[in-house]
Amino acid sequence: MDGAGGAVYARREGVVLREVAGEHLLVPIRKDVADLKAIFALNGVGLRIWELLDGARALDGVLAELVERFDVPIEEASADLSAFVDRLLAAGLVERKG
Amino acid sequence: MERPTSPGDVVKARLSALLDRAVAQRVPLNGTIAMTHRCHLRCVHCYLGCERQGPPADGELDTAFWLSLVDQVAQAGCLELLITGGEPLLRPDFALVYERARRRGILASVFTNATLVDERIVRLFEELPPQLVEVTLYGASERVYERVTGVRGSYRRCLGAVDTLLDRGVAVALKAVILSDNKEEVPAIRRMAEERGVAFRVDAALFPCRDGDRHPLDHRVDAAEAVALEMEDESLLRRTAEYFQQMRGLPPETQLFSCMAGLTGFHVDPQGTLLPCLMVSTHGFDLRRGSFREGWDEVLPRFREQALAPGYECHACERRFLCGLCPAQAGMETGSPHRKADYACRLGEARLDVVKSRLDKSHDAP
Repeated sequence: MDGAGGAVYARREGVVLREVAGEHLLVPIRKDVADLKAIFALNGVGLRIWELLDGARALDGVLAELVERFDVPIEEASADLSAFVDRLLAAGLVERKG
Repeated sequence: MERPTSPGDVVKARLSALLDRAVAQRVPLNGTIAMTHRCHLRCVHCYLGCERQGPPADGELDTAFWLSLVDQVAQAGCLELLITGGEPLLRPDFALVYERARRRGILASVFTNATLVDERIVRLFEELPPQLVEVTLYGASERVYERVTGVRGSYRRCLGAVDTLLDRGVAVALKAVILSDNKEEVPAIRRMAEERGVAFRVDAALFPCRDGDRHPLDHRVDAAEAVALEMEDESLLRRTAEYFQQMRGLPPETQLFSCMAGLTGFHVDPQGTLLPCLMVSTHGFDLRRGSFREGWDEVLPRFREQALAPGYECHACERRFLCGLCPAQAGMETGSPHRKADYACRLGEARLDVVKSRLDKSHDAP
């Protein structure tokens, strides 16, 4: 996690998680949140990460949960988690809390 | 562990897959609701006719019904919801229902004449933006616009609201209905949209009133003339030609309805009847007596099962990809969804002419 493992992120308020036709979607609903045309579709791993970004848990904790749950090497999970959080952040769907 | 996201997972590619799955699973992805058929304008061509003038409580349902409906359709998988009418802003609870839809993660759009847009509505759309607010301009000039709407002051109120919404960053699109009353101004209406940098479309389709009054049809323009006006939009002509090329080889349809109505689409009218689409008046389910899920699962599938009547002409016609073929609309005009509507047929012919000429030109190009 390149030293950012202690960072804490939270889901932003104006984003709604929907399940539509078996697909989990993040739908931004407020003008100040993300690009309103950008709907994220999450797979199972993305959904779990989204649920874990609760504004209390540091990324290290999220990573540990992923490694345990999905039985994956820590380096691989760390790179994927980091890239995913960066994308959520760039899209304005999460915010850094600490 | 699979990657939490894969390339291209943002929007389009995934939404296309989502649509495929929604069709396969019959998920009500796209709906329209009309909380009222009332309207304070008196447009000469409107298919709602006398229904526009009903008293406020005339069969309309209360706020609790509409809020519950929004919750139910969200639960069932509705992603896009169009709030139309009548004029939806006549309902004092429009904002409550709209807000509920947005907070449920539904992408809401609104068809409105915009003349009732006030600061409260602008703020609502700023805070919880719609996908689109679509406004019809009935004329480029005050004289022609109000000749169509029959209400003095409506032109200025409409344009004022459109410009305010645009200034405040709300997504607005403009539309023109081609009428004998305004056909000379359609190019100027198009320019008004271009000047504002907003999407624009024209619509040549007029229908008899739902009560059978055929008065709106008096305002139709000759089909070839209507098509010439719509095809002034070069990108529309290109897209139409491409679409025709893509579709023309398809085998004839085997069912009466091959659209999305009742498959991923639904409509709910002001009296709470769940219908396959806005244009259909059969196969309804009374949502005051049962849930959306019951109506969707038990009644609307029967709409999809309608077979073609012997002698039906349209399912194998080459022009069906261009005429806007809709058996429900044909039914409004001819009394039977199995009978072709001559005006739609003429629109199809006129479009086929321009499309073929376009395709010939592109073949001749070096």
